[in-house]
Amino acid sequence: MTGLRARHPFTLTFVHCLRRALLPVLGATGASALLRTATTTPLAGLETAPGAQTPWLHLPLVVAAFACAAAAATFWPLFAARRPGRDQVERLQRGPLRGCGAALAGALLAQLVLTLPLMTGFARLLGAPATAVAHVELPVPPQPLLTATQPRLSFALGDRVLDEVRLRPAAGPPTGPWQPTHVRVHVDGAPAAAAEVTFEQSLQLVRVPLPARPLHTLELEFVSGTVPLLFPRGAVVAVEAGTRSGLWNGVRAAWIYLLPSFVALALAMLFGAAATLPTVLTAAGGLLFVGTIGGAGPADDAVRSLLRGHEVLAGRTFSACIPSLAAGSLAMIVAMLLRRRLGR
Amino acid sequence: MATAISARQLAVTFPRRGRQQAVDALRPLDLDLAPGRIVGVLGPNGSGKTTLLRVLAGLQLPTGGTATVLDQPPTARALRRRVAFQPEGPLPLDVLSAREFLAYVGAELGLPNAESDARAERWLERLDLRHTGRRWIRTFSTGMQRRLALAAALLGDPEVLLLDEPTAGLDPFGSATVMAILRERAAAGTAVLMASHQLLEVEEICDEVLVLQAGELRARGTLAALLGTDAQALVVRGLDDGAIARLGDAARRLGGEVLAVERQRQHLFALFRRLAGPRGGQP
Repeated sequence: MTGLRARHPFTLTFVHCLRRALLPVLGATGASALLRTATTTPLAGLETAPGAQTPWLHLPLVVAAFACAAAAATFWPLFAARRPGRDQVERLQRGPLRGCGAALAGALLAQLVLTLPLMTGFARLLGAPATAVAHVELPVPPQPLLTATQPRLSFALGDRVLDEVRLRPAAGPPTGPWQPTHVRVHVDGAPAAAAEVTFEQSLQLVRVPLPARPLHTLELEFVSGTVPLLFPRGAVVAVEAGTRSGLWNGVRAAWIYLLPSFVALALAMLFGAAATLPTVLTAAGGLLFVGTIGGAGPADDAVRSLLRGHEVLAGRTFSACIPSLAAGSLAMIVAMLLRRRLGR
Repeated sequence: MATAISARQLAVTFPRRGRQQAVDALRPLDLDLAPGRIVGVLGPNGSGKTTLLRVLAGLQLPTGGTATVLDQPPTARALRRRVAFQPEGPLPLDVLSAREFLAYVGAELGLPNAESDARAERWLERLDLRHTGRRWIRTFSTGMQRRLALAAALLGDPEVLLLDEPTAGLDPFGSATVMAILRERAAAGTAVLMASHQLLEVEEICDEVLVLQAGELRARGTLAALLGTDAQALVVRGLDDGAIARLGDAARRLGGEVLAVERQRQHLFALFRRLAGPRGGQP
């Protein structure tokens, strides 16, 4: 028993969060599976599309995130002011965060342990493909408008071997009597297989197959028509050739789903220098809500990408992780400085 | 003799916050505590007892004066193990069992796991907590929590013990055990500073007392000095009232003064002990 007993804030919090969150997560997973079965009414296959299953995967993931964060915040007394025994723990703990960092890491590990089977197993049950393909949003030019007066737009492909490129521009008001716009597609100066494509309405998706070799540039040339086409961020997506493991994709999605909890607990650590537990729990809960099902941050994108079979860190999800990481890290640094300044 | 705790003009003022006025929680006081001595801190609620202990435990920075514990500032990390603080109120991490809690404390004090567990078992046995098994601390009675808090404080074999109400909520057996342990620790050289409202216990165990009132030190000294040493009691049995009166007259003739004649009754603790019977492991 001696060697197995949890003794450190990290292991103590990990074990506590796991104990507290396991049953709720199992319950939420079962409820999610049942509700999905009960509410699915196939209509032209749309409702059963993997991307439409996002809410059912979100449900147990959100329960895991909330349960672990709440368990950690209530367990470790230094996450909030005026908690019973705070003095005792504060005096015992080393380090500028007084064990809060270790407790945060323990909570995140517990969430990861609970989330991994959901991202790799439950997602497959919901229809996520066994493999993942990288979808890369191409950087847009400074003036991403394709019209008769600005007839060429160029995109860098970065020497990738691509399967296809997906164009989904927004259409502007016609400049004359309505006529669909015809666009010629060039790759590295040569016409692509589907050399000319037509856009008749806004956000119309057009797929252009590409040759299987490293490519440098994609050029769109306005041929005819009266509809100006705007290519904002996300309107041109390159689909890389080759597939990757869906399991690994699930693991990455699980890691990304930790970010809202990281931000929530890091800010709880900051507020906890002065705020009491109800305030800390409310603030952390609100942040978690916004960061997960609220759609702010990378978690929602990661779940959707996973279910659609898109490689999770290839698209905008990666860049969406940076603000969350920065916010959480900054909160921890400020909490550290604040505790040092308060001199206990 | 070296000094375990030394304070000079130690003061704490909590600054004004919003509509709340600034509070002088501790007005300048001097304090010296030698190893092996037990000093009681007395005073009504809000008199500054806990603030004094928190300053000496390094949890509260003084706003005036200086304090040293074992010749170091109270906030020195090296004192974490050498100085133990048992605060008032419930224990933290209350979803752990007593053993898990002591294992955590031992690890943070830097004790090897095996040694920590052995010490924990010893204190759990001594403080009658072995039977608690895997029960969560939050299910413990107040007295059990206080005893566990003392076990945690004693785990690192500290040289200075700072105790805030160590016997609050304890039954008489528990109090007696705690008193016995504190006496043993003091005999082994540990300096004990304890805040308490239990005047009888303080009187029984402390070598000196400090009396605080509104953050101000009102009295300090040995019990003998504070309570007076010239009064002596002669306890007799089997005399009627007339005989007692003659005994008083005899005392006066010898130059003494009769301060009180009262019928003494049995001490409540002795009665309690006789009726409740001895408990395993209790002195």
